[in-house]
Amino acid sequence: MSNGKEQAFVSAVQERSHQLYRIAMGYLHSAQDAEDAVSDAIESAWKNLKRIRSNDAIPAYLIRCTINSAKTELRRKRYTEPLEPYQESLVAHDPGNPISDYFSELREKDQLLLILKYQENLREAEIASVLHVPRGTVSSRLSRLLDRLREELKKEESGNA
Amino acid sequence: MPEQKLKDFLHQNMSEPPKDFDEQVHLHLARLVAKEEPKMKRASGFIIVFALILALGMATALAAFNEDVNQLLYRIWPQAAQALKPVNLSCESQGIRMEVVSATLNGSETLVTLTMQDLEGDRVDETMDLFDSAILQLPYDGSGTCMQTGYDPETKTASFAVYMKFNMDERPAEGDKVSFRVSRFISNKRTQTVDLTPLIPGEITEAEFMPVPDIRGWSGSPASDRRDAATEIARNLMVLNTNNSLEIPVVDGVTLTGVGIVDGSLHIQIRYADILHTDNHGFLTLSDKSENSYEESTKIQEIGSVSWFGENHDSWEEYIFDEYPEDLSQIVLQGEFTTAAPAVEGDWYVTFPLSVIKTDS
Repeated sequence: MSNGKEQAFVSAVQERSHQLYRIAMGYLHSAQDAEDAVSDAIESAWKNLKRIRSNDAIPAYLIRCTINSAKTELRRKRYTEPLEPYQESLVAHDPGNPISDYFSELREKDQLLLILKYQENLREAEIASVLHVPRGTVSSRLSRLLDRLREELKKEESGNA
Repeated sequence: MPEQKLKDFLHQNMSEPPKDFDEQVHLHLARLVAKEEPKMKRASGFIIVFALILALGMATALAAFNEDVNQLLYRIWPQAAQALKPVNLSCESQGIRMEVVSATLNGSETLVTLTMQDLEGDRVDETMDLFDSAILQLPYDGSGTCMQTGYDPETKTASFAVYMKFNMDERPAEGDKVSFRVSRFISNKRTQTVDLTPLIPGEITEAEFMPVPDIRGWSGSPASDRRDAATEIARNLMVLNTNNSLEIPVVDGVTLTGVGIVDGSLHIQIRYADILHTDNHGFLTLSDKSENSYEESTKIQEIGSVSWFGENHDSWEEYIFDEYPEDLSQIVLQGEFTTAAPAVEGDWYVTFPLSVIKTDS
């Protein structure tokens, strides 16, 4: 490989491919579709490699491409195939489980934020880059979401008591 | 507490990829990289049609045991020569072991994964570059690429994926033997950005110069479609006299050897050590402290940089700036240098049969 950016791209894909798959699966709930979405995302990011400003920005760009690719596929599926209700959530809903109930009621963008933070362990700056929002917005949204979760869990505990 | 519950919930409910996912990703990456820069040298596929049948018979018997005879047979009857090679899934040379992990055939594409482990030192690392020495040998026309896919520091093992794509009408079949050879690699590759401004001599003056020795390369204007014209310009250039070089070490393998004015242009000379064994290279960026920004287009005008070989495969490179601040104390000079340890040479050679994988993609 002749170029540092290409090398950084290959490393980023290898390091993040499982992460990309999990994110794509969240949207698509089909292994084959998720693999295709990751594959499309890798191809799309590769084509635009020159436009990515630095090597550090490659992982966030890959995640962004994966989300776009998964959403495109999801839109196509919505026109062509009936969706199961749980597929509207990025994580399968388990009714009765308070965390799952809470999670499934969130907007998709909030679900994604929590997944990137607590499942994929992305730094807030990286999440901001993926979601195209200021870093402060990521912090405040996370804080709000956790407050709400705390309330839900308290309600659940007092209900059980 | 809620964070941990959320983490547990997500960890339990997010789906992990199937077993063959990594291989699919490697294959996909390899396809992309191969399209961009096919590097693997394909095996010599030409057939000498007037080979004697009798010689063939004898050669066939010997080819299974003797590599020289096998190479000779390869020129005459590559399929037979390849089939006669004994399978060896691992080998060792210079204290470094190569081992085949998998060799799969998917339609007209092959993906071979293998590892290289340093049994004696730290010559294998995550920055390995096979330095175009990798050859995948199969008696079919094809192109492909080899790339490093990982490195385990605990076992000092680097992993590689070798991808080849063949023509549909002339491609390998299941069980066909493939040989892979690496003859040298570099490692310990690092890219560093260095501020050279403090290294510039206090006073930049008219310098002693000399004609460019045997030009190895040039860059800059005129554009590449006027290569002859540019080469002509480079040939007529005067460069800083290397007999009076400054010898200021910049990073390991890179030396600042001169800064001076020649014929009204600012010349900056760098020497990269032993580039044929290290691939040391870099570039300079000149800017003006007094400006907030420095336009790319004004850095290098009609003349860019010329390079020539010195002793011990050192590369001398001289960067020539037509435009520079009138007050030379305002110069900011930065360099980005990629250096590596000297190449490790050896003979790592494995032969193995292909197996078929079935995928929908």
